[in-house]
Amino acid sequence: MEPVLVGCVAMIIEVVSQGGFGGLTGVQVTRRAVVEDLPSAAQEQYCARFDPGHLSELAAVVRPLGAADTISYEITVVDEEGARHHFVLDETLLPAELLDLIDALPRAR
Amino acid sequence: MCEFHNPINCIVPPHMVDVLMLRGDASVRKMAEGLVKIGSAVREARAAEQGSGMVPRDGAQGVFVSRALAEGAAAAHTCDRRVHDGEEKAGLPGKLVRAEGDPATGDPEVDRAYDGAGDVFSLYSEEFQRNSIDGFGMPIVQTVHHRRDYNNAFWNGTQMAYGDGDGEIFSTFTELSVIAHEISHGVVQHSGGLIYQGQSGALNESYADVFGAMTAQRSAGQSVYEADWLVGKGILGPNINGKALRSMKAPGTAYSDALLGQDPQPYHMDFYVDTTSDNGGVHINSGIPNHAFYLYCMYLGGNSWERPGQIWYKALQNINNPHATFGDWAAETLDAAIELHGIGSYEMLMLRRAWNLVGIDV
Ligand SMILES: [Zn+2]
Repeated sequence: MEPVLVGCVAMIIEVVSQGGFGGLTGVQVTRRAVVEDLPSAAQEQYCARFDPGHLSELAAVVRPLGAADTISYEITVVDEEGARHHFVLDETLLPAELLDLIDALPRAR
Repeated sequence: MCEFHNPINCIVPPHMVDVLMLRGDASVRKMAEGLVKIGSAVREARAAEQGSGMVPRDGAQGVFVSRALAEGAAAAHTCDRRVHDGEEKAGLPGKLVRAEGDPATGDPEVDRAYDGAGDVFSLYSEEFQRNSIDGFGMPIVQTVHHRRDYNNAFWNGTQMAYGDGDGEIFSTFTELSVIAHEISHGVVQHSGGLIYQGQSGALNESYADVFGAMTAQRSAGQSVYEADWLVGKGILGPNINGKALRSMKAPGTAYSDALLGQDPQPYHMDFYVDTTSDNGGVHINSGIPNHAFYLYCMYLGGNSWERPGQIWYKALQNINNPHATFGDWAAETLDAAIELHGIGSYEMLMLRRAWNLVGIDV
């Protein structure tokens, strides 16, 4: 029997990436998933890492001085109540574990 | 070539305080406000005592220049390259796979990053008397195979990282002009910085492209007339209709593709792009100063790292204005040309003409 996850299985995560060395303003990669559609072993990680409270804390940190060509992520989280939480975060502000989770999300382009 | 070392202690130079106040969070701004209260005389004394990257300019109290320039040629420079394998994960720097002096690994990404960083170090050391990124022998840390299908390369304030590309839009990032571009962002940071937004950000981008192209030309032994003036040549995916990411010779013509669209770079101020994306078009409007450098090289002939490169490098070390506009930068290059070649010199007059041709009066 599958373990029952409580809390965020219906949460929707959408990540749009833009910017970077190429300056390809016309090319945006969108990744989107409902948490319950993701591999069950990773669902708790997605719930924790994309928790709007956690992302708010990351958004309050200053981008490293002098950094260049980094990618900017527009992250939208729709929580269990249907409320939308929107963040724009430079990749230098995101923990490696969260970036790896973004890379594992299915592309919606 | 690539051989020397000397560590540095740093204090925050005055213009950086400005940057911190502009961009920092509450705690950083508070710290920056405290620094503003320290008088310039105290800062100058500290800079001299502690080996800051910035020191007072001769005869101009309170004006700072990069110490890497003020100190002149280093007696000995040591190259310290460290290439890491990110193993397609985001953690930095990843697993160290090739340190200075180690033999080739057989992994083309690792070996190109290692060799490329050597070429960049050599350019700065031998032509500009600069000892690595910070001027004081900073290790050159690079990570290849960064993340999965990652379509980017960056400087994060302390190191370079290169993705492998997704095979569709990009096929690699370890091309020499790209490596030199990223390392040169580090040089900008350690020369006083140019805020990565709007015109100052486009100048930061342009400096990185100029020194990216310059490194590739020097490595190939090409004069300004022999060079192709492309940045990121051959890094696009196999089905992309484009020869490179940017062209300094003809901004706006590097690619034209169904997926990527048309290269958006302008070559003249009349076509300056006002946009909020890309940090205010830093990779777009950099085409204007890029083209001015190219035109100047066409007037002077010879090698880009000689007279033109020396003027651009000196301007970066002297500008002391992280918010510089294109006009500020053009004026600084003109000052550098006068310092190096004299008022009314051919070098000065042709530089003014190059800037005028891209729509910047100086
Ligand atoms: Zn750049």
